[in-house]
Amino acid sequence: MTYTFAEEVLSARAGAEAKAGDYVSAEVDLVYITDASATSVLDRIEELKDTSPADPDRVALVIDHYVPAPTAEVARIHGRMRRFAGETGAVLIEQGEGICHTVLGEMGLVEPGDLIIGADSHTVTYGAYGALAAGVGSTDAAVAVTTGRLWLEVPRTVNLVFEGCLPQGSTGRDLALLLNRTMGISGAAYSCVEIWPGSSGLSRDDLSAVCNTSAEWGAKAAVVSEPKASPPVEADVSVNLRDVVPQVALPHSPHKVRPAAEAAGTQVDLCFVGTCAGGSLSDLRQAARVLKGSRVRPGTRLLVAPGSRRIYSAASSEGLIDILVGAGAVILPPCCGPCCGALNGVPDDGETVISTGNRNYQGRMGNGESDIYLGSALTVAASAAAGKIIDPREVLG
Amino acid sequence: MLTFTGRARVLPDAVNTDYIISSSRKRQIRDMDRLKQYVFEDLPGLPGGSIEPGDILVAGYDFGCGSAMEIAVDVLVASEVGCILARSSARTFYRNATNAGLALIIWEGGCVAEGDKLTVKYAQEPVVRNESKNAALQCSKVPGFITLVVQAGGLIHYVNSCGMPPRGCLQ
Repeated sequence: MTYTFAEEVLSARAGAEAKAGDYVSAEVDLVYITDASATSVLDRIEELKDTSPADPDRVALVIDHYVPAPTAEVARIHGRMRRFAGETGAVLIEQGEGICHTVLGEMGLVEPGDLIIGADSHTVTYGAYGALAAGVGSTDAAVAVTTGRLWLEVPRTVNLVFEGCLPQGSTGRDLALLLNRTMGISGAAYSCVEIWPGSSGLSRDDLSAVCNTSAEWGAKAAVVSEPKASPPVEADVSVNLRDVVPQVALPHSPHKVRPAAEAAGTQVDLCFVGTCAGGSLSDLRQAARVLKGSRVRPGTRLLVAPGSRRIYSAASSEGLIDILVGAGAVILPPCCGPCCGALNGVPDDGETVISTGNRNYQGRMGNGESDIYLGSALTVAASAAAGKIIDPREVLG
Repeated sequence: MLTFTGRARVLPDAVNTDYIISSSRKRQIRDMDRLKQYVFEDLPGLPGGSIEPGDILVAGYDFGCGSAMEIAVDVLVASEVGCILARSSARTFYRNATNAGLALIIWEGGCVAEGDKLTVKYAQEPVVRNESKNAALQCSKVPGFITLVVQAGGLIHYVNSCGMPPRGCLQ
């Protein structure tokens, strides 16, 4: 009998043999909530008879969406999170530490084979750490906080196999965008995507970008298998990485993906490097590589939000922050930034944005009268310097 | 058994959570009674005007894709949507609807037009009829545990009355 990764993890966490399609009650290794979901989760916890965490060490509250608090209302949400953590002993990740999908992994709170849930759809990012990590709603999160358990259907599995290596100028984010086009909105619906990187040499940052984006394919989770492990005899989806060129998603869908060259020439007003999809140290290195000795074109603005304090600090030590600031970028604190229109950096009516974020629905960044393109940090930085979308290979030589 | 009678409100495919309620509205407006006025505001071409209490949403494929935020379900509950029929649904949305006690049924075939009168009997084998066309809609079975949670009025009520099931397989 062979088991998929999801079956293995959920059988272990349910203490019973479970196959795809079975319903289980499973023990959760970590549940996290953010300031975007805290009100809803904490309200629901108060509706439960038993309101104390089953195991406070397995509960994390992350202040990452609205950082620092822009209004008194948000300050009250942050205050409530701090009090809950203080009273229960749950783990508090303060503002400025970074984005939940980045910082918990850095802190060593995510182990291979863990069952992790977060009240945010991009929780799937932790598949890059070998965890079965799924985004859930507030009620699931509230019940998991107080009981330590989650009900779920064991997902089926989609095997995604990579061959070859990415060419110069292409990144994990380009691969992720291309996969949005291949997989569509439900290509992995209620599946665990097992990613077989083979000898592609993709970094954890690249693979995090791919796992992150699996949320857009309807995946329950995505997980990266051991680099040396042999992939299944039959891949459900295989990608030859040598063919991946820089990609952009056109407004207003992350699935409307074309080679960047096809969108070249589109004037951009606002450029953004950051988020759980594109705020890694690799992303900042890419942006700095393009902007070294160059400047953001007058009339164009560039915002950069490092994914975590650790990334910010490393980028600073490497001189990347100096390069970006020197080029005209505005550096935001480590947080979700303008990705979901929750904070500074809202575009004006009629403006065009290019972002390393994962979603570009109409109105996503807080103004329905703007167009959002998505691309890699190389593409975003190169477009910022040019004042228009360009294929970054043009400036990388 | 839960039963619903209401007017069909036909929605296109791929109605994502941002189209159910926009990210910026949900940040700006905490009061659910005010927020519910903006349901589907960015959805191009919602026929028949705003959602009325008792309406039955008849969605296409991939209903509720996008964010995992439960507010997309909360705002439909606040709008007093009776139940949802969808050709398919994003899993997080399906879970959230279940956990909120909002019945969501996957319908596989049959004909529904905007404004048709529908009756729904929600159970493991749901029965959905289009009274306006005097025809049945074919629907998928609903897993047993999900019907229990929905019939309890959502997971909070279920856990408060029965407790969260211990580790193991669920029926």
